[in-house]
Amino acid sequence: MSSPMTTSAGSIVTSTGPSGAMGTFIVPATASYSFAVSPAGPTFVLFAGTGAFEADAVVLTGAPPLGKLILCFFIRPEHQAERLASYEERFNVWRQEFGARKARRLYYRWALQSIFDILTIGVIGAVIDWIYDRFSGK
Amino acid sequence: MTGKRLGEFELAVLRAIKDLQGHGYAITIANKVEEFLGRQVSLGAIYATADRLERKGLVTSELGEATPERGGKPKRYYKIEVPGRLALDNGKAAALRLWGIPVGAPT
Repeated sequence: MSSPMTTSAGSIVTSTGPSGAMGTFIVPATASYSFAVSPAGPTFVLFAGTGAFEADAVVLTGAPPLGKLILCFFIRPEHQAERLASYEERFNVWRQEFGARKARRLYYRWALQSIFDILTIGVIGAVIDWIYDRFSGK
Repeated sequence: MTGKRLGEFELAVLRAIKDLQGHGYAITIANKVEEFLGRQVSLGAIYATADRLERKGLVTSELGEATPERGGKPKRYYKIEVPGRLALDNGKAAALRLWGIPVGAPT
């Protein structure tokens, strides 16, 4: 078990257990907790106060669902899980750096910028390739 | 020949993939490209460009391991292929010619 630490609700905690496994969590309730993280198979156990609760080794970042939904329209279904996870990973960094509110704003801005880039690079690239093929005689 | 002529952004993404030696995924590629170009780039731009490079056969990709910090979702790692290395060399040679520097000269 890693050494106990104190944190407040809503903050992100990354902890490494004795086996080297790493877990990242959002402290889920409104109170402050002192806890330690212990890897237990595929899940991690968070000991909070006198009790303990289990959390999946899944990041519960709270990236804006509307932002994710909008992005889904512009990402092919077979790539959605992996690509949304990349956006989520960046959201985690912003959240730790700037706080949840600013991170959400950044996420929306980047989602819109990404959609614009996906469309422009896709369309302009296809047009350039077509022109090149058409007039290069190859 | 389609796609063997690459723009600045495509060359930057290709160079980042080459430098990361098969361990590059969207976030690390974006960080490298930002370093090269000195401006922020969106993940959408990275993905759209990587898709184009992959369609042209310049890079390949494969899903890696799932990691906790990504909510148990895997990363897609990109790797440069031989045509990609050639395209990168051609892009470099074209830039050097543009500035009148002989290819092979110290830059």
